[in-house]
Amino acid sequence: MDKELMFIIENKELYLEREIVTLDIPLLFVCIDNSHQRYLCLCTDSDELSYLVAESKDKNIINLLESTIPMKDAFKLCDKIWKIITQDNIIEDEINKVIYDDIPSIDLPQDGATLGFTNPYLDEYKEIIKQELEEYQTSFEIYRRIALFKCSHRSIKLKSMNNNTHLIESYSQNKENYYSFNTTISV
Amino acid sequence: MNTEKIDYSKFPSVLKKVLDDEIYSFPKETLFKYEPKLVYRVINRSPDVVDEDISITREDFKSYIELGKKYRGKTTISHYSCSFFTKKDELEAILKLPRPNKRIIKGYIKDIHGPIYLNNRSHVDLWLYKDVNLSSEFELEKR
Repeated sequence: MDKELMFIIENKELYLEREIVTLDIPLLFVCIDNSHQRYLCLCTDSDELSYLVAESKDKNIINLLESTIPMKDAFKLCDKIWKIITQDNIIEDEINKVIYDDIPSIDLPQDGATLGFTNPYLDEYKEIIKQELEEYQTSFEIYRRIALFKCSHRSIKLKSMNNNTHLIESYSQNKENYYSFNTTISV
Repeated sequence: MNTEKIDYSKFPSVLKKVLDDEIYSFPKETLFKYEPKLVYRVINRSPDVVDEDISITREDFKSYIELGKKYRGKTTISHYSCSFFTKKDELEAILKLPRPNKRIIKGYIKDIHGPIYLNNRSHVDLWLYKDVNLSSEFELEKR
């Protein structure tokens, strides 16, 4: 399916990934750029067609979808936020970086209000993000252990055994001393 | 979707035109025959207006395209429909978003009003026939 370009911020193209709340147009949604960075997006005025776009950690999006944090806090926890007033031509959008504390409360969700619902479409999305996080954490843990192992061994070989098990073989150059261990990564 | 030929002349002219020109077509899962469904919709009203002063009008059921509103992204046939929800919780989330100048209305939609498309959320696209006026069949959901 064609990707739907929503914004261009600092030369990064942001594509619509998932609508969370929609009323004729997406009101609360997630965009993603080509480096797989996700952005939480909120329509602040559907007549003027203006938005708040916040660079978000994946865990923050999961928390919003699971209603464990208020929607407003999901924006507060983002380091970079932009206010966008759209124009007919996307490259002419008026884009300004803003500080959370300077955002008028009228442009934010109600105090303390959580999303408060889910559906199969959002459940599926949550699982996608969780799976990605798990894979990322597993990879990170493997490379961390490899890095530690490399400190004391000349050469190593990595074999993926299954989803979570990775055999790290380590041996010296003449293979006189052969070490191996089986490690199960739990994330 | 029914295989019988759809009479596009039953739809408002803006929708008829894009269907005639084959710019858009109804999703294949579109239902032309269905049992009456209780649905909810939001309408724009100032939060200061009391319930008794709110009257529901035909304008409240116009599609995004008919209202001539701006949008970002690709146009789809969904923009030519009137949006409803089968569950109130998704609409309640809308009321928590910025500029809460919205109120919830509820009523039954029937196949005589137009074809519908249901997705895996609780959202319903209803492509209203041009002579249908739902205003008298919907009522305000009390706050």
